[in-house]
Amino acid sequence: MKVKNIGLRPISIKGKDIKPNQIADIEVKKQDVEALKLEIIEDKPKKSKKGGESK
Amino acid sequence: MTLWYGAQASVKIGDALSSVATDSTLESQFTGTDFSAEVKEIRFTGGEASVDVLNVMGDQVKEESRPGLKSVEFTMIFSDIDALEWFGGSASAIGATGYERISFSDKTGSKENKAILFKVTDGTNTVVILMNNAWFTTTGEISLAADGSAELTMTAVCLIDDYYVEDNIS
Repeated sequence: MKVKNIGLRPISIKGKDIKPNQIADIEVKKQDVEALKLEIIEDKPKKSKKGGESK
Repeated sequence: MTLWYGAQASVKIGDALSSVATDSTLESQFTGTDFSAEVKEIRFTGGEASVDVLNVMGDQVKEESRPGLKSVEFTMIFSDIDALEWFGGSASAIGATGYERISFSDKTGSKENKAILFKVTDGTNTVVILMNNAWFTTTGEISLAADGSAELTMTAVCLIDDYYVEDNIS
């Protein structure tokens, strides 16, 4: 997902730093979004399996 | 030998790691907020495992105590109440006023497990300290002198089992 740091401080997610106002493409747990003062810019939907399995 | 300076240090606070993997660096597992631009001083203490003398007939032996809590104290610029959330929990919006408030509780059992990551690096050599499952033990000591700026001092502790140090200096 794409997230924007809307807080006043830099944040660090699994070793990747995101400065204030910076947008990053990174996976973030939903519960961390508010705690880290992030705004979700784009949330990629999970890919669904197409078709059934053939015997 | 490397001399470390404050300008090479960073201090980050986040939620505790559920487990610490042994095959990746501490920093790569950590998620949190960088408070480096506000921290003026940090001090790790405690974790002592004292040794006493045990006198027995005709001899002396060393008696070992189990380690105490590891402690960190840091002094930082007091700019807002975000750091106070480490002890008091998340602030809540007060209606549509634009204010947020932390309501402290007199009950036990509500402390949040935090992770405190301290790193010094010169771009090549790096030393990292992690206190995992740390509990903040103060609501924050706030001070302001007439000829100075507002400071906040916070203290946290963790079990020695949750204290990690690592470097890449051979």
